[in-house]
Order: sequence, then C-alpha cells, then structure tokens
Amino acid sequence: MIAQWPLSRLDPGDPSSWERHPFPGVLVAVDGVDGSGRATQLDLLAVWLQMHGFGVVRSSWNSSKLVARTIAEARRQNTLTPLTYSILHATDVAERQETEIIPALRAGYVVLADRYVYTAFARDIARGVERDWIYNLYGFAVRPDLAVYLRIDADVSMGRVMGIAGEATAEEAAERASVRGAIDSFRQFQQHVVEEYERLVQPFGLVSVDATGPVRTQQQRVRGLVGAALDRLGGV
Amino acid sequence: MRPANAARSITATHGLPGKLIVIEGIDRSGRSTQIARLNEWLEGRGIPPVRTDWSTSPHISKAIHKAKAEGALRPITFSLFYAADFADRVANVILPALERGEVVVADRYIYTAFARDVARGADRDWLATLYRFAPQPDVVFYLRVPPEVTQQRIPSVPTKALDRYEAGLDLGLSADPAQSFQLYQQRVFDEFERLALDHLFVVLDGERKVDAIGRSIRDIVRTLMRE
Repeated sequence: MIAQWPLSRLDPGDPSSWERHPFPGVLVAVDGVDGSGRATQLDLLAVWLQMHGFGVVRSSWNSSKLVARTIAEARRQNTLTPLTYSILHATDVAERQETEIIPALRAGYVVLADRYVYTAFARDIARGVERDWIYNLYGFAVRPDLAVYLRIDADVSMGRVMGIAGEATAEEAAERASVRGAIDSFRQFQQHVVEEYERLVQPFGLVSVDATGPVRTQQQRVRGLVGAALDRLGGV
Repeated sequence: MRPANAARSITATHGLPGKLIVIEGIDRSGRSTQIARLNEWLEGRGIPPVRTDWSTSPHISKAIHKAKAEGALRPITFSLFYAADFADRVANVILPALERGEVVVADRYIYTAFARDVARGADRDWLATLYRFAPQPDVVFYLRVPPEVTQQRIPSVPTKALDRYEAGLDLGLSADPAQSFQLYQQRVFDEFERLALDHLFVVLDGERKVDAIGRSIRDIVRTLMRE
C-alpha cells in the first residue's frame, strides 16, 4: 500500500495539535538568526551527547546534495521569488527528512537539526509569504521533540555577523546585503525576521535561550533542556 | 519580489489582460500534437503564444532531470521540486505574459501535479493549498484517453525504454515495469477524472481523429479570444 502523506499535517489554525513522530529517536531543533551561535552550541551539545553514549546525527539547513546547489545557482542569478525560494527550501527539508532525519530517528539516534522549519517560517514570512500557506507547505515535516530558539536581537546579530571576517556567515551576509543594496535594509530585514521568530515561540512551544550571555552558560541551559527531553522520552 | 503571489487563489480568475490556455492529459494522450497545432494556428492568426511546458524552469528542471536520472527522487521531494519549478515559471513566464496581454499555452498545469502526487499518496487539501498561488486558467482542455489505450500507443519520439517515474516504479505497485505502468497510469487517470469534474475541464475524447480534436480546441479558443 502506498503511504499517505503528509503524515501529521500541521494545522495552520492550531500548531499545538501537530503530532509527535512515531519513531524511537529524538529530534532536537536549534534555530536562531545568523550570529546567534547555533553552530557553537550544537558542536558542544553533540560532544556531550556522544560522551553519554547517545548516537548523534546532525542535519543542517540547505545541505541536501539534491537541492542546495540549485538554490545556490538560482540565487546567484537572482531570479528566485520568495515563493519559489520557499518551496525549494521545503524540498531540501523533505529530502533530508527522507534520507537523514527519519532513518536516524527510526534507528534511535538523537538528531540535531541546525535550523528547522521555524527558520523557514520566520524568514519567508518576513519576505511576504503567507503564514497559513507556509505552515501548510511544511505539513510533511516531523515535529521536533525539543525546539530551542537562540534569542538575540537584530543589532547583536548584525554586529556578530559583520565582525567575523572570512567566515562563511560573513560572506553570506555580505552577499545578501549587496543583493539588497544596503546594509541598512539588511538590518531592517533581520529585525523583521527576529520579530517573526518571536511570534513562533508561543504557538510552537519554542524554548527561548538568551544567546547574548557566555557560551558556557547557554550550553548549560541547552544541556539541561535536552537532558530533560531525553528523560521525558525514556532516554531513547 | 512578488509576495502577492501566495495570495492568489485557484478559484479566482487571474484578472489580467492575457489568456491562459491549459492542455492536460496523461502521458501519450496526444497533448504535444494538439499543442503544436494550436500554436501554429495561433501564430497564423498573428497571435504568437507564449509556451510554457511542465518542468522547464532554467535551474530547477535541470536538477529534477538529474535526480530522476539517478533514480533518487522520493515522493515528497518529487512533489515539492515540481512545485518549485512551477512557481518559478508562474513568476517569470506566466504572470508577466498575462500582464502584457499575451496568450499563454501551458503544456500541463497544476492538475498534472495533483494527479501524479495523489497517485503517490499525497493529501488533496495539502496540494490545493500548496498550489493556490497558481493563476486560474481561462480554459483547461483535457485529452481524455484511458490508460489501456495510451499503453498501446507508440511514443512519437523514440524515448528511453520506460521512464521509471512515468511507470510509477518508485511506488512499488509492481516489480514488473509494464504492469506498474498500467497500475500507476490508471491511478493518475482516475484522479484526472475527478479533477475534470471539480475544475470544469473541457473534456475531449482523445480517441477521436487528431483533426477533429484540433477543430474542437480551435472553436473554443476562438470564442475565448472574442471575450
């Protein structure tokens, strides 16, 4: 028999009804704007989990072989509308879900997602895509067991991103800034994205972590949250 | 940027000066032949149409074809990839042409996506919302040919044996390609039957003579152009 999908369709009117996946593994999503320190926190978290004997699989935004190159190419030529861009990112998530995330969850791994659907929601809604449309678009996605939101404001984000010379994020930011013509408009956009993230916190039960403090303090908080989620779910 | 795209509803008319003509039908239903004739006829009347074919956006279609060749597409990825290709053509080909007042002839449209995706297990409401940015066509011609008949038609262009996806081999309906083709095309056909009613297709008996079908299409297009 052919599997029906989306499996657990996210109801745009009631995100809290989004059902948990049926797999033994645990999905942890870490979201936040550029410069929120996602990679650092995820690196530390992965090491800690492995030390405690958990199998860890990481899955990063826009990293599927199938789609990432297409997005990069089309973006260079600047022909993508926000809507097309949005669907392409969803394609990337679908591909990774089917090839990385679900197989790992099925095998009982802790899957760490470096950015998840919330990043798409915040960014694409900030670009003018309709909320109920994009919630529907991601109706196929597996609901995370824990979604951490690393909270910083747009100014801190800008400061950190522009300050890191030679890193991929700075390059990306500069590219985006040049596309938008000015750093100012980029700042405005980031501000808008931050506001959209904030709007997701309550309905989706994101757990906010103050990402302006010391890395160590944040990591303690993140470990506490992940530990509690693992306990709650029976430790995989 | 065209953020308003997402707001367009399938049920609303596009409200633009151009005309959007869609020709739908399962594989080997005679679509290409009829489209070629319609285009020729429109050109002859001094109305060169803007053509847009399924899966032909510059960047995305290339990636789709590559993935298909590798046999790597899974149903949801498959579905979304085509939606991205379509969104790109709506923004860069279809809407601009309709805004300029041109006639757009689309070889397959959202209904092909609906039929194929439902055959692969997709939820109809999910699809309807996903594709609600699509401008509503002025007319949808549906070349109705049952799969038992299309199966016996020899492809006009000598193609690669049986396309893995055209035969629905990714669905595991049957290990035998010929049987899988039949089962899959039947599912797609059944969904088209349903769509024809829901979306008020102009249903054309695709087993009639090519000339007769062509005349029916031209008669309706002529009326449409007078509106």
